[in-house]
Amino acid sequence: MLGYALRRIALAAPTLLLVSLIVFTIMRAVPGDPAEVMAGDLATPEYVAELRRRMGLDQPLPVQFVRWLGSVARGDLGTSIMTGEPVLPAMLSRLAVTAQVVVPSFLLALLIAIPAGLIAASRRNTAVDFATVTFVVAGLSVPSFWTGLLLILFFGVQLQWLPTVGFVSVTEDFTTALTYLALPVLSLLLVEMATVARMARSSTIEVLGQEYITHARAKGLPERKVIWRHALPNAVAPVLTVAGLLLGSLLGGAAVIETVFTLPGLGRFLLEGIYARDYPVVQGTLLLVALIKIGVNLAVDLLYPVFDPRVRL
Amino acid sequence: MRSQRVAFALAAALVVALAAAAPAFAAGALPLRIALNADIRGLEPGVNRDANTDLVIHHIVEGLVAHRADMSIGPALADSWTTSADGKTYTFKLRRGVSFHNGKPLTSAEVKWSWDRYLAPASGWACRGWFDGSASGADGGLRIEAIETPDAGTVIFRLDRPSGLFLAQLASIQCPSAVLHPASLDAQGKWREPVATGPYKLADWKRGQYVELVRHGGYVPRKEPRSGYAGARVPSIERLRFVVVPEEVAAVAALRAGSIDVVQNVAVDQIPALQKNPALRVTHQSLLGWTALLLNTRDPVLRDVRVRQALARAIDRGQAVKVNTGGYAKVNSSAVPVDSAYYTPAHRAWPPYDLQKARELLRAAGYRGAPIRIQTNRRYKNMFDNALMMQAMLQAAGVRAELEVMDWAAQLARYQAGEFQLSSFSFSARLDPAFTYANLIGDKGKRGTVQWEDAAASQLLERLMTQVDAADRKATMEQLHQRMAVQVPIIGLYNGHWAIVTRADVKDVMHWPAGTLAFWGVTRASR
Repeated sequence: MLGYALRRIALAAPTLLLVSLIVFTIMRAVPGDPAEVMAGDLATPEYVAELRRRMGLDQPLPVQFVRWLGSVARGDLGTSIMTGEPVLPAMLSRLAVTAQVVVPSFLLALLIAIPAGLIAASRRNTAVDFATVTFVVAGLSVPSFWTGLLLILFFGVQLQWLPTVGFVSVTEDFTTALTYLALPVLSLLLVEMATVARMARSSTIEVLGQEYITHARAKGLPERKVIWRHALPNAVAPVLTVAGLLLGSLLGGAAVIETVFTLPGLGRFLLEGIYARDYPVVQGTLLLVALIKIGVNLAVDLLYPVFDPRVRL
Repeated sequence: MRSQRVAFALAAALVVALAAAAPAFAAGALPLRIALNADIRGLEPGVNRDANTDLVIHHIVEGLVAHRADMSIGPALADSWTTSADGKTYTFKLRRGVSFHNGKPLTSAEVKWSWDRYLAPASGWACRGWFDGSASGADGGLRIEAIETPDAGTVIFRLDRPSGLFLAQLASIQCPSAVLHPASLDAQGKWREPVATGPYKLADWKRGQYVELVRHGGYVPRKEPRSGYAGARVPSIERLRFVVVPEEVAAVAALRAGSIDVVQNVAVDQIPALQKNPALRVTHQSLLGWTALLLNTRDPVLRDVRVRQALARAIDRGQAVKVNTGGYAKVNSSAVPVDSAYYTPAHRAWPPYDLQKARELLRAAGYRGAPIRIQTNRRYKNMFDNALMMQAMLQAAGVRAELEVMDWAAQLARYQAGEFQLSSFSFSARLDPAFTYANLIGDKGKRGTVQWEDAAASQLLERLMTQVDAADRKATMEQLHQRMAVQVPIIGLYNGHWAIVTRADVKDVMHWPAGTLAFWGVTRASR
């Protein structure tokens, strides 16, 4: 397993290089120039030219790419064109915010949705199953920003129980942080639960149709044991794949939720970077997003044998 | 069963924790919380700026002069000034008793230090071109030849030529020529934070979250009443917090919940509901900013003046104002804003809405239904809504108008390069109309943002730039508009409108046509 992990980590380097090249090229191909955005409608050609010179945008593209890559290799992702912040620490502080919303909602979603999917599958076509499926369809159909706005209106405006804007980190003040995180976590939780529950239900239904389950039942095992000992481990593997993809995407930026709840997270950072054509921010953030996805996928792959002994890495 | 009990206990603990924490945001001595739709870009005046950045910085810094609410120039750090007979020397007498945020007194040395820094080639100051002769536009070319400080209370600016705009450029909102203390830089000479003379100083900037300012304890306001950015700047409220809320719906929800005190520029469709809420106050403000349909006069179809006149006649500006601004904005096709002191009835001249005449003009020009694309974006709703409406109106006149929707950065790039046929656009406020004309008139070959290439207009603009007398300037602007109404190089639609919504207990927020707010002199019932 260690050898497999090391091979995967080694393969990440060319993947990241490819990602950086693609991102760099696409950003330059898109119309719009950070110097022009920065100067706005008050720009003079002289001022825009000066800004381009200061940003190094007057250099040929290959020179710009090699310079940027050289800085990345030294651990320097550059400085934001718009705000002058060094990109790496800015990005990591934004990731910390995103993680405070995504990780709790993700863990809660797994805790609730996997058992819910299992129970729904084991009681197919009952009221429990019908309720679960209804929730799943609703959760997947309703956009998260709409859920977020409803939660803001109900808990923030009507009841005034929770703040509607702002952010306090759990490292600053834990209990106050909970009040700021409750609504965004809940918004994400609903969508994540629906995704995971759907997968858990369908994969459990598939597993319950397998011969070894019939065999277990024929041996006289109680249904609870059949479900939890024999069906669950095998049903979890596909759920793990979906959950890994979900976690990777959300850690890479839950831009909509971050915008609705005014959280200074990675998704908003990337979005604002794209609007402003802030090349260092977009390139750095997408590199981090790629790294997160590679890391999460690797973790999922390494977890597979734990649930499914047939898998050998 | 045991696991259910554990889950219940955890849920109960969470509810208790939330309830316990709730008073933390509901009570206490709160700062005045103002919603910003994006974070500020920096705190170095005139470097890497946008409207939000300007708004915050003007609470921290002051220049020698400032615009009054009627757009005239009033004193700020200068108590008075004189101009030499040849119009090339300005002598400013500094106000006594002014101190920087670090307690040091203001002297002419800091004024000169600040200006030497702005004019240095590496300063990055957006408006350096206005003062060192490096800008090619009609508003550039002026050069400060010397800045002298004969004594601690006097600063003399020597210019290479007389200028009707020098004081207005000194008072610019977008490029505040703030007087800073050298302590604004670190030991290596790099920018640290603004140590200036304004009524507030920086307390905290949490990027992506908020900027908080705290009252400058040693601030002595001017004696004149508050007027625009001039007059008394009394920091009545101890702390101001500019909170980043990108989504307007969230900002309004926060305002209703009492988590935000001020939201600027609220969409007109939200106004009726907000006006009914007794906890809120809605204030309207007409603006100098100008919303227009840009025309590329070098385009093969649009270079024919008859086609441009037809487009002007096909557009019902009043209807656009009614639908897209709820009727709050003011119809205006002149580059001189309706609220400007230079606006006269002559600026109402414009080809009237007349579909029949528009069709005749198109026929006479030999227009055969070639597509005309309107560039727009979805980031700024007013630009998109206007484009949509212009498309329908032009189609009604027989023009094959098509929308070309792109993101704002792409549209801005096309505007800068002059690569468009029509573009739905808004200009930010220029406090002197000469700046707007300077932006519009010129040679497209040299500057892509130029809309109007006309030798006579260029001569009028040149004259306007050196005129000082208000009556002379008014007459020149009228002549410019008369030509514009005939040549139609751009179709101005309206001067903008703002709805500012505050909590009802917040009083005296300063708003003016320049399209910025100020929070000195604001009071709030204690909460």
